[in-house]
Amino acid sequence: MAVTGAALAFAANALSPRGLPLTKNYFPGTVAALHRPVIGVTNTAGAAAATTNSPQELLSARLLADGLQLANSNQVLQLFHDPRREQDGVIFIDARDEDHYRAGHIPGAYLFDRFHPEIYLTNVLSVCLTAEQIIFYCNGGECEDSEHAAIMLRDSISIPKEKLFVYEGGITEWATNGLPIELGQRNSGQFADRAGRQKAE
Amino acid sequence: MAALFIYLGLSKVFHPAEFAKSVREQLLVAGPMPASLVTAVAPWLEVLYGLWLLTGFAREAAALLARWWLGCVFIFMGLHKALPHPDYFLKLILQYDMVTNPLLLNSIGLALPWFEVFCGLLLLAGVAVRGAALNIIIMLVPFTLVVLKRALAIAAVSGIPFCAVKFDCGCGAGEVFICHKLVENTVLLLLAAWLLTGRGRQLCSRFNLLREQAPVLAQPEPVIPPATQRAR
Repeated sequence: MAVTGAALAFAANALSPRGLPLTKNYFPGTVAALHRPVIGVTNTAGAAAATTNSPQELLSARLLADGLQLANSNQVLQLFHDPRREQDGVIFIDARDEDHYRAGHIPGAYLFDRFHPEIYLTNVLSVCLTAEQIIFYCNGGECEDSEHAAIMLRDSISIPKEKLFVYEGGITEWATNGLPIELGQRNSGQFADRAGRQKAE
Repeated sequence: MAALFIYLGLSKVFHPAEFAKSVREQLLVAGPMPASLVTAVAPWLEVLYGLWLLTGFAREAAALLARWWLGCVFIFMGLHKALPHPDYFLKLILQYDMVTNPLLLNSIGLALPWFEVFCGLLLLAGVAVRGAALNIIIMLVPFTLVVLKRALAIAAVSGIPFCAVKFDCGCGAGEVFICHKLVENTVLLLLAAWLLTGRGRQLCSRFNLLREQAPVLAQPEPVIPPATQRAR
């Protein structure tokens, strides 16, 4: 019965519109799970041990090991106001899923849900090849989608790693800083106000 | 088990905001009226069911409800993981630091939710009930243990009381307080164990998947016609 159930389960996944391929590595790079801290804490050895690393330090070390660069809010803001962004010389890539993207993203950001590259890779392929700087973001904090998306694009379409940045604070920090949030599709012209309500520009 | 049901019901009665939030977000009951109806009624149904179990009245009917309830829970939990964002479930499994091999991780993340749905459907239809219950126990015991281990680790490093630990354990119900989750899993385990003992046979399509052996009947004694008896 267990074997039948397992076979049916794999078949259901294959038929499901949200099914994922079995053989794909969704967590590439050096993100060995054993190296990651417990959620919300910086030191799994407890308060007695003195070797506390900040989440930023851990994240930075992890990104460095993957050949990626960490971008803080000031750098990201600078890149957002960079005139090259108008000509897609600097691009932002939202590595979350479409529902979250539509609920609010950095204005002009491209959507790339790495779990469904067959749908979203065409969105970003040409701009990634021509852009000089690419900033990936997701929710920030414990979210690792941005770095996995960066690694996936780096490896699949051979983007030089010097171009790739990961925004550590993600959309959460962006929104907290009161920066503009675009709603719906890319360049929809609809923005959320500071209270999160929709407004047209 | 009865006491745990009563505890679960009352904990929802005394923390209505938390339960109302999970009804809206997890059970996806959108309308305010249906949401408040579920929030008001469901906890008391759990309490009543607990009291029913305590009385020991109509146990077979209670077991039938248990089978249906367990089936519905597993179907819901499985679909909740499998359909909207199976990738999110993959991430949650990765956080348990148990599986790093991509193939194994994907196999668990992609097949397990549908396997839960499969077991839930079997229970609901009353097919191979004991086998489905056994599979549920085999899934629940290790999951409960890893959830407990993770909660202990979070409590140790964050310094918060154990029962205040709240995280998304990947069980299909979103973020939950760990103590409540452990009680819930214990209830599910006890219900599955109850069905494993052979309860819940009412309204079953096929309780045993394999055909039951016909009971060996005792040889009937030859009936001697009264006329022969008289002749003797």
